Amino acid sequence: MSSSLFRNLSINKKLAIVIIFSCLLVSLMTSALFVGRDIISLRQSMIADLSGLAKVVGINCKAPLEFMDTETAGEVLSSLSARPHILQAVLYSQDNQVFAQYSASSVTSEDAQDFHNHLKNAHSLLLLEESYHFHKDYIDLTVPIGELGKRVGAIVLKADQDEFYAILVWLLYAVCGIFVATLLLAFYFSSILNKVISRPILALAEAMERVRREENYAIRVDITSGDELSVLVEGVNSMLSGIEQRDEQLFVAKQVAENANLAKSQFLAQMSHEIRTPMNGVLGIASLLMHTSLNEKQLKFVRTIHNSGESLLNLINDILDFSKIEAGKLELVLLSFNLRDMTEEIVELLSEHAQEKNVNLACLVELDVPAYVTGDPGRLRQILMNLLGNALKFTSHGEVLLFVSVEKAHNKDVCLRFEIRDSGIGIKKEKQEDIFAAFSQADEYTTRKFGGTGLGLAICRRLVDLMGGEIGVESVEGKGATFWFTTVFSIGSSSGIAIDIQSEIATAQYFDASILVVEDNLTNQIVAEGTLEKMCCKVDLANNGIEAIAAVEKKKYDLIFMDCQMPVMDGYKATENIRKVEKENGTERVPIIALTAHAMKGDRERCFAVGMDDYIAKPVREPQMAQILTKWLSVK
Amino acid sequence: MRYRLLFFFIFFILLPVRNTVASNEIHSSRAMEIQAAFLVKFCAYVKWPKSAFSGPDDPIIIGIVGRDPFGSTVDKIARSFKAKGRNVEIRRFSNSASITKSHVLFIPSSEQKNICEISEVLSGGSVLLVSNAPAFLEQSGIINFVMVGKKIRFNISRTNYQKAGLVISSKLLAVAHCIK
Repeated sequence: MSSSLFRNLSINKKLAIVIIFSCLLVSLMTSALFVGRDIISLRQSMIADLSGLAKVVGINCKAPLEFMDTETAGEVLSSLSARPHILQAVLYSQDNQVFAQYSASSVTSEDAQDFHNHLKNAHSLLLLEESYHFHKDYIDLTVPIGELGKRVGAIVLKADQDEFYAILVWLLYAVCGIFVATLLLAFYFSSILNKVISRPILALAEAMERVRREENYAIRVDITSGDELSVLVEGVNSMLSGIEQRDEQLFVAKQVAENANLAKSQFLAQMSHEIRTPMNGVLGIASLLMHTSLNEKQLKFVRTIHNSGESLLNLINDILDFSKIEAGKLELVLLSFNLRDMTEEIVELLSEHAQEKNVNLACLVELDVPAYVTGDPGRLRQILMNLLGNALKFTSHGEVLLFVSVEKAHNKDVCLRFEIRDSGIGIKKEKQEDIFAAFSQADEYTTRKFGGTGLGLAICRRLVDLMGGEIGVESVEGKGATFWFTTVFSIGSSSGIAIDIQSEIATAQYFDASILVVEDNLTNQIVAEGTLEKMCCKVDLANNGIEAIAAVEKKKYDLIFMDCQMPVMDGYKATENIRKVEKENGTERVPIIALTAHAMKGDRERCFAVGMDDYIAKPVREPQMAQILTKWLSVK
Repeated sequence: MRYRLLFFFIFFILLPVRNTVASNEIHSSRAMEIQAAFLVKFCAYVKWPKSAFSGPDDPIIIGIVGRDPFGSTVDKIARSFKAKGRNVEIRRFSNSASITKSHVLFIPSSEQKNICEISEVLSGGSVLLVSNAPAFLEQSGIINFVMVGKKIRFNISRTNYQKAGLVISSKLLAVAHCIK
């Protein structure tokens, strides 16, 4: 306990304690030695003095004793009054009887009697050699008179110890003085040591603390001495410069790596985008081609082209999404939407595929799940499609179940738990964490058998992260798997701008409308024209904004699809112009639908700002187009 | 205050001393015992002229004239006593005529009538004359035992011992009752 108390003290205090303690110990021992020696020699000299006195008195008492002259003996004894420290003297005769005695004036008769009684109990005085005893406040000394064998008596002196105690007190003061002097010296020396040893250490510690706090490795500690401490300080300094250099190198390396990564991501995004545009052309044309009069073989080929194109596009979309997320460019939109409708639609959408595989697909939404929530419906849909698609992919029989429940609700926020249960092949325990990492699948065999980029779950995980939820899987190999994720939504309302979920189950619809498509890309023109004509629309084409304005002036259209980015004049400017003309002429407002390459948040706002009515993300597909037409033409 | 004053003075308590004799009769047996002891012890305090001894080992001779009043007591005391390295010897002389060389001579009161004769016999030799006869010092005696109260004390005649060529220690003089 005490040792740990000492260990935790500062070096200053430790040094001070050690020095003071050792100084005090040494002075204590020295003092004890000298005081002890002094006491002993003092007593010896007192005894010698007393014994000499007793012998002189004894010699003078010898004749009175021999001739039994008590008066003379008394006179001799009374000469002791010249020595005030002699309190009492008792002269004993040969037969051990008190012959004569003397008491100093300061001695009371009781004290005198006490001393008498004390001596009475003593042994035969004549047999004794010279002896003395120390008592608390007096010394008694017995000296026999006459030679051994011819003893004529003995004299006992009682002396006070006042002088002895006075010297003792003086010694005590001296020792105290030495102690105080030692203490002061020890303090002085420890303060010197403090300067020499602990101050540089403290300075070092302070510098280290500053380095830690400011994370500034350019700080150096001053070297003040040439001893081991300076070696320590030099070591610290060189360590700091090492760290500084390494930090710089690391910073440069990090910058290089980050730049390289960014370049890679940008390249990936660019490539995907570039691939997507012609791909859309392929898909659009293939889709159109399917609806022309083809024989069965031709139809099979076209369908194959279309399906392969679909797969490729999905792949590219995944990569694009992933690189967007990696680059931190993905932003969630916040819209109120009907959750129940959306889940049902998704299940309905996948039910055809499920039926083909002979797998039951069902959706179960608990009653307390709110119908309308506010969140990003597109991304939620993407996650659900991905997980359900995976579940179907790895399930050859049995069922796939989508289960939605409330994890917890707090005020206006609700945390929903989505579970996708399947009776498929399951996932090995040790692989369960890995499958959410990018480019990872359960194993190579799976990849070969089932295909896929391995990006789906990674994207899901990142999207769920963005939505403030968690994702996970519980599975026993061979006995199916349950993928689950949670997301936080705020409870929405039906009164808000409800965005209709893009439905891919568009039944063939026919619109008798005249439509202007403003698009600079020839492929897109062909696709859009073909798609619209398939729905019995009359289509005019314009290559840029100027042509569009001219066309609008010439002819009245029911609806205009306007590409945003075009040479000569872009869609925004053209729309502004058209709106201006409409206002000036007081003609009817034509719905203008924007065609955007990538549905970024800012683009949408800009579209609405210039007077467009809706927007549709490229590539333009038949179902979306049908939906837009239904929406805007039926309004009309 | 009175009490304090009392202790201001040096005081000594005199206890009953053992040289007290039962009666104040100087010839009682107890008184004679004490005198015998004193007689022997005188030898230690008296210095004789060198001519009194023929050698350093010569004994000190104590003579007793006439009828011996001490008996064997004095022999016993003398046997164990040594004065300045010399033994003490007791010699008894039946009358003054038979007195030979001695250093101390005790003259009992019974021989007081013969003092003149004895003095003549000694004829100025250095002899310590001791007696318990009254007024002995006026008859050229040196030490005379007396009764003081119930105690045996002695008087010393300075003129007589100086005349005899003896030196008596001041210590002995200090304990004498009276010096004439």
